[in-house]
Amino acid sequence: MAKVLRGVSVFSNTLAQPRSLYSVLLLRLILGFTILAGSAGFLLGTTWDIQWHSLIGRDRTLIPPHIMMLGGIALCGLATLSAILIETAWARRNPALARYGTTFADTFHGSFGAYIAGFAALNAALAFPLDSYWHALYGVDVAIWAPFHIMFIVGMALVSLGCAYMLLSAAHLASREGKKGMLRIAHAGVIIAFATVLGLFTLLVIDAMGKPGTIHAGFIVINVYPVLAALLLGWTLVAAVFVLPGRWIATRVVAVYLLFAVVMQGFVPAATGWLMAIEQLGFRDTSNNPGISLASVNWPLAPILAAVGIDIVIGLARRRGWSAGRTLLGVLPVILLGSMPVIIMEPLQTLTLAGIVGGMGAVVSLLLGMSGAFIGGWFGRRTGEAMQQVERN
Amino acid sequence: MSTFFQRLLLAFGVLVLIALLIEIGLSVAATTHGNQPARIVHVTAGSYPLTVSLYKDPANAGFALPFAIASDASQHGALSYDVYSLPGTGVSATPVHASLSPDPDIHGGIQGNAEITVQGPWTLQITVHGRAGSAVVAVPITATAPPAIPDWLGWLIGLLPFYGLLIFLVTQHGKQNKLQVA
Repeated sequence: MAKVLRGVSVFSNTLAQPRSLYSVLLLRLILGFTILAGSAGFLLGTTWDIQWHSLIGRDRTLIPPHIMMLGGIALCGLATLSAILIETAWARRNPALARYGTTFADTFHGSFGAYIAGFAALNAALAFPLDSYWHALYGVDVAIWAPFHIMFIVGMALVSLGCAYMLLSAAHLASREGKKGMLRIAHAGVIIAFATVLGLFTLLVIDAMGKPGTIHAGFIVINVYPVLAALLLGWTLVAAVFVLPGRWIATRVVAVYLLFAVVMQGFVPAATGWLMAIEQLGFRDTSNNPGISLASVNWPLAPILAAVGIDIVIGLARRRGWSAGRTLLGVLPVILLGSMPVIIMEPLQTLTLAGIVGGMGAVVSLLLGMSGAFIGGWFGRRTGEAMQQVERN
Repeated sequence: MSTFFQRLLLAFGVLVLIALLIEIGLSVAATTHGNQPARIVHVTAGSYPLTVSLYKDPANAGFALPFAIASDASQHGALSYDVYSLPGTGVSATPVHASLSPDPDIHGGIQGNAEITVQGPWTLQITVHGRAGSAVVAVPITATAPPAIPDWLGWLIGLLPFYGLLIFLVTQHGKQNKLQVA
């Protein structure tokens, strides 16, 4: 009878090649990192696309930034499909392997994260032609807060979340198999996956610093950047801290998130200038390539404060045995601090924004931010604890 | 999640995949030149008489417009071309450089694809370089798009992954509660 054992030897009563738990671990690790490469490529392609739209214009559907974004989506889709089909085939030959994954529709077996990433990649792929249709109707200057932009950016953020699940399940297998090196690699992958989730959602949140995020509600003007940023930071950073062992987890996630901004700055202006020359195009409004990545210079910097604060507060809470409620109250101020708009081009943007919305508006915006920090932090803890339990056999 | 719902999700996924493959097929088909042009325009750029064949009329916004240009090469010698699609007044779009290649069926002729990104009036701007110098001519084009869906429907579809995320978070919350009770 087929039986999955710890270690590399698994025997089967079939003539087919028996697969060990180690093979499943290796598969999840390799394909998990492939998905990670696809979603990070999508992030880079999207920042390049923002640059292309702003400086040159959306001149055709298959411009190089779009190809890069579509390439990222396709890579993620193919990797998740491969992960599920391969694990399904292995589980059919050796049913004992199925208990280390999740069964779907009574037919497929695979990592829970692979299903999330697969459906999210499909959603992002569907958003692309819909976005092309939207542009065909309303023109090239559609804001980033447009239905199908949101559909593919959030879709790819969910792909990264699925990837975090997949790599975490690989980490659980590595821990079970006693493979310390692979455990460290899987944990590093989970950190990069969380940073990618943060980075992708940041592309949507950035716009809230400006006009789109400022709401004139009769007698009061408010800005929604603090509430959106607090929801995002609270959810991703608190979840990461509850998912991974060790110290300074949130700080490591934000360090990778800031590294993305550096990579964008190195890649985007150079790639834009090079392709403009090849495509014989010119800038729309300015005469020169500004030499900066628009996404990088608008990349929020305050999350580093939130990350360090979250790590310190949760570390303290663990040592002193604080209750969940007290821990959440402890992280609220630091999440809110990280949700202040601070960018390299305008470090005092918080004050500028406060000037625009006025005293009353600033107070209401901060209160909204506090509620965002509460909901984000609460869901973050729940998500982190739930992720810890997935496929932990 | 119940098996029924999982199968429903699977069926939905397969349908979306089929729709995507059809869309990719349509995009590729849009760049191929048909047997018969939908519209033939005779224009003169400077001293060069040109025959411009458009293989879609009106053009489909968001897709490539295949075209071909022919001239009496024996009269003017070898000609070279540069083609742009230019958005008309009130069209929120930027000029796009068209891709060109020699037309295998017509000596000295070229064929290409002009990208028409947004619905509305456009022109195909053709620059010809030859022995008699350079000259420019514009061929008007109209681009149409499928009927617009209402804004609210666009947002309803666009926020699909958010619903997924919310359902996911709520489900995780429910699981956590069960685990804590256990």
